[in-house]
Parts: sequence; structure tokens; C-alpha cells
Amino acid sequence: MSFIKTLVHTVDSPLYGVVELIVTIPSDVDNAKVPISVIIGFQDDEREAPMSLVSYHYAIPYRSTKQVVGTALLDTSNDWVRDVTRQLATLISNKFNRPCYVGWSNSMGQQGSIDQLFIIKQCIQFISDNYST
Amino acid sequence: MFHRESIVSIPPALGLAGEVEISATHFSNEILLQIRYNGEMDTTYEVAPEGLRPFDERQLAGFSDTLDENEAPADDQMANYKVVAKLGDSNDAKLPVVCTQIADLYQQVILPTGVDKIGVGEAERRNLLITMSSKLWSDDTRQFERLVFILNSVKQMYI
Repeated sequence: MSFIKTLVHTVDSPLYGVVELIVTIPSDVDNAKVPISVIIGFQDDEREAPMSLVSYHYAIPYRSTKQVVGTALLDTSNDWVRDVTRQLATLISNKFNRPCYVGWSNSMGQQGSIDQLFIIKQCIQFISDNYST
Repeated sequence: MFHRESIVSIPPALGLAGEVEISATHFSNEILLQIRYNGEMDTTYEVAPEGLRPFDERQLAGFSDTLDENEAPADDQMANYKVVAKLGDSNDAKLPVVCTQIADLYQQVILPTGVDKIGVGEAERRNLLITMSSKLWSDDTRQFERLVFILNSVKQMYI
């Protein structure tokens, strides 16, 4: 059995379009060194347009405190995207007590937007559902 | 999203026990590559192709056709890339070398096949964002063999 499992999940929301998640989670929840990785692809029905990676964030629990620290590995001037990647990485790292990498991508030049809370909830829910020993 | 992944057991001859898990996601501006060792990864580098184009037709001023093979200019592949440490030990001298080798594999072998249908030409100058485990080369054993193993595993992922 491998140390990790990678799962692909598509959230098809009538309101926001299609969000694809590629999530890598540990097989053994007791090994806190194995990071969770989430790559989000947001396409607002413009399926022809190529996807571009906008932001990539890293978060890790800070020693034994309840805090989580992090840094942007690929930064962006788009505050909305920066915010959602940072928040998601921090939340996942805190909740599952391990490092977390979150990447956000969308089709270039797209006009649609998506609710931050919605996407964060979908990601956390999907990870929780599949997170087991 | 264009995504490839593979899990490869490490041959015992390399002095490491366990597996390497590789995941690659291709975008129009970057390729996100994750190389885990037993699930772990802790260092991130961004590799950007630099310099004059195209790769395969490099000409240097002053050299003529009358040069024989002994005098032909040597190819410094490593100078074609700029490696920036985003997370991890920025003093590590080995990992940037590994990164340029992986980037070269993409530029010379994987991307020219058009495997991700993102387009050739300018798209081949995409950056590579590699998150990997520093433990793969932290000791001094079988360094080159491990590099070859990783390069081969990445290449096999696209076949």
C-alpha cells in the first residue's frame, strides 16, 4: 500500500461552473510528515481556454503551538485568489495537522467568479470524506 | 487539468527504502511537479528557462564550419536555467542541479512531444515548479544513480 492516494473530484455547480480538484492525501493519518496537496482548477464553462496556474501556497503547523504558518510559493497580484489559496492551505494544515500545498488555477481571461466559502467548504469536505486510516 | 501521476518503488541498490510518488499538472504558464519520498516533500524550487532560443540551433559568433570535432564548443546545459529556491535550504548545492536536469528532461524530451496539447514553441518555455523531498539526496550515496532513477521515473510517467 502506498503512502499517499491521489483523488480527482469535480464539483459541478449550476451557479459557478466547474471546479476540478486534484487532492493528494496520506494513507496513514498518524504520519504527520506527509503533506496534503490540493490543486484547484476553476473553469466557468469556457472549456476551450487553457488553464493557467495563478497561485501556490504552503502552510505548516508551527511546532506544538496551535498556530499555522505559511508562505506563497507562487504569488499573485490577484488578492481574491491569493486569499482563497492562503485560507484553504491554512485551514487544511490546521485541521489535519500536517503541511499543506494549495494551488489555484483558472482558465485565462475568464470572467466568472465563485464564492470563496463554497470552494473552501467543498475542498475540506472532500478531504474529510476520504481521510481515513 | 492535464495531470499525470505515478508511484515507483525504489530499487534497493540506491540505498533508499520505500517509494517515490510523482505527480505532474500542466498549465499554460507553469508545470507543477511534486516528487515525494515515502509521501514526504519539503523543498520547492522554481526553474525558469533562460537565454537565447532555440535550444537546438545554438550558434556562437566566430566559429566556422572548418572546426573539427575536438574544437567544437561544449554545451553547458545548466546555464539555460535559472533556479530559485522558494522553500527549503537555499544553500543546498545539489538540489538546483537536480532541478536543471529535470527541467532539461521536460524541454528536450517530454514537452516537444506535445503530450499535453498546450502548444509548442513559446509554451515550451514554461516554468517548472518542483516540490520535492530533500531526503532523496541528503546523504552522499549513489547520488547520480538516484538522479537517473528520478529522471527515468518522470519520463516513464508520460509514456
